[in-house]
Amino acid sequence: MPSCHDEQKEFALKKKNIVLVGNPNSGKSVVFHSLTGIYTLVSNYPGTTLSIVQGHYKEHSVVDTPGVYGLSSINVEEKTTKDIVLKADKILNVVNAMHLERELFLTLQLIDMGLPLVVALNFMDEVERHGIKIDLDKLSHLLGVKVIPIVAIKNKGIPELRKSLNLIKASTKPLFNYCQFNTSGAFNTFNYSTANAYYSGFSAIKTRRELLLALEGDTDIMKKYSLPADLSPEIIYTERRRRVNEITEKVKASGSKKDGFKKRLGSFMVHPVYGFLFLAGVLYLAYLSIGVFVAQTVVNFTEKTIMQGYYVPLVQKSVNLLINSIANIFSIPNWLNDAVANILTGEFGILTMTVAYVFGLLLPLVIGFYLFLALMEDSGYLPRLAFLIDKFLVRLGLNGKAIIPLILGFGCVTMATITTRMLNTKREKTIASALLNFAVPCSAQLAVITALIAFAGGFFTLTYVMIIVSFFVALGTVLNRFIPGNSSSLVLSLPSLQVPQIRNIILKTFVRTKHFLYEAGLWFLIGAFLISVLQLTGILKFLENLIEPVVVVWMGLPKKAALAYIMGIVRRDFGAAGFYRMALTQIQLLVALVSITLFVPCIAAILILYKERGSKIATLIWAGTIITAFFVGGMIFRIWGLFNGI
Amino acid sequence: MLLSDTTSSEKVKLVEIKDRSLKIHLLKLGIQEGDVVTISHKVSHGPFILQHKSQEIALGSKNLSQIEVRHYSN
Repeated sequence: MPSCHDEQKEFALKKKNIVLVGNPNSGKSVVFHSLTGIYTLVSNYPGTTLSIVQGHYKEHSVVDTPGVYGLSSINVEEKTTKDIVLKADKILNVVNAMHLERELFLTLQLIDMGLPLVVALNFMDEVERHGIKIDLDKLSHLLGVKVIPIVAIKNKGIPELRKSLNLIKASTKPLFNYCQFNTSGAFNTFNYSTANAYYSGFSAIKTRRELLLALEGDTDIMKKYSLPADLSPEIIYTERRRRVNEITEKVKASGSKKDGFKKRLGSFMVHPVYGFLFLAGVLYLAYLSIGVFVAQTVVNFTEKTIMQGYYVPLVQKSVNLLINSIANIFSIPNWLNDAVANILTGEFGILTMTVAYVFGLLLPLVIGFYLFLALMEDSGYLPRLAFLIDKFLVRLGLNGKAIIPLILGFGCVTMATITTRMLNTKREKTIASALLNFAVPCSAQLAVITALIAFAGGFFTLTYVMIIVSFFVALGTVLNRFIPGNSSSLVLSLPSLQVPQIRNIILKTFVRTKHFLYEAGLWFLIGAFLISVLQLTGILKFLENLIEPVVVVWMGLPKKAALAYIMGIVRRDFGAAGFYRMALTQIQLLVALVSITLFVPCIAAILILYKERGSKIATLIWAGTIITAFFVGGMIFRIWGLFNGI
Repeated sequence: MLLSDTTSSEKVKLVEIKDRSLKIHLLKLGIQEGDVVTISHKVSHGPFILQHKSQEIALGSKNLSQIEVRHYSN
């Protein structure tokens, strides 16, 4: 058994499995859904799905994999998919018929590996609409495998695809120019110029799939068989590219109809001037719909009217009634009675404050945010945004691709930190993780901050945004300067723009919201419970006194504010919520909100950070956030004092 | 000449992709030496887009100096 890569868990495949493999945007996840009934996140963005999902179709276990353009150890998507393909019984290769010349590269690689395979040729309606002709029989003949035309989203061709699953066979044309295999799949001859040096080592490789990857110099396979890691896939890839082009040429006749409007709109979105105007429009729309409509109108109704108006009083009344009657019957001591009442319905009550917060405040905002994100993803706007801001992210040691984890951070920093895996180098992963955990407020925190900053007015809101953005840029610039090594450059295939499918948008929002609420709610519950216990035992007072000098003297906040930072250790938004009932002046609000934004990431995020980045970096980030939060907060107070003569 | 010497919406033939990992990456995506591509949306000191057949590929500014091209007129 080869040793496992550190972060990746060994994925156990069941017997009789079918593995779905395809390029990003090939419609793989839709096919998976129609076979198994399981919904996975479908994104019009290369590389957003990194998880592996497994379902069932009849006696087969069906596995969905991250979308890739080829199989190698070059990035986490290809590595993940490759590891599963190596163990697969049968492959269902989903191919986007609109981009045959790109997609068949992976198909030929799978065929070269000798894998039993069927090709599902998706988006045949688009092909027709564009007047493109594809000779399916010829394609099937040239590839030596079954090719089934489908329109996955309309369920067309899926019954035929289902029928073909039992008949999946390896290609009848498995030989390629560089190597020949004998019938057992072992290695016979090899006319590659450097082959002799490797020959003896290669003969130890018994499976054809591993052998092919070894010939392509795959680092994992080379390590497994202790082979030198200096073989480049260039010659095999060039030859494969030639064959793909030849096949495409033979089977495809290009159509006449072009996507004029979509193309023009796509151009507009990446234009150095109009592109930013468009982005400003998108952001303004986000502000209007989430910042104004949801955060104010909707939350006012859910939090004030429903929660504080009906739910909380009702729960308080009935719980107290219940506790008192139980206490009377069993003669429970008063202190215990009070403690239970406090934990359940007190200031941080898990039945009152936690529920009101999670469902009254968080739920509407999180739904709003994820709906907006899903629209940006599915329309194909995100990759264009990545292009647009590449120039700026390069200065922070990242490239345009990092827009995905960064934007996801405004939803949930924990999830976003996991997504930094899609970045190419360790350096970029570290920078992105630091930026996320220092300076990106998640939707929960934004929710509380939006509600609070409204009291401070426009000037302070703008100042708040400017301070956080400047800090973000400064941190990125410093990290880029001092972290050794080089960051990678942007290479990103832009998918065509499309009208988002409402069903997909709703499902995606639902899945993400559920996940986030579960996680945020759980930690909030734990936090509320802990704070109540600390309060009851008097430890809270002690801690408050301990940090009082920093909070009161250095940052000019009232003594009570110390509580918010202690709460903030569990979750920043929990801390921010702590400011809710304090009567703060405008400048105190600014200091409080900036410092709590920069304060420690929530417990869930920290756990992920330890797992993804290791204890050294995670500890540095955690401790760094505390120092920075207090430092910046105090500096704002002092600078303000200079100008106002306090 | 290098890709950095071209202007936006110019049609060029790719002569040599000097960076090996970029070359391998592009081979997978469907672009190789000898292909005729259109450069679009070249942002000064920033990224650019290579158009090839039905594909649009965004590349970072570092790649500009890694690709040798020739004017193509036809």
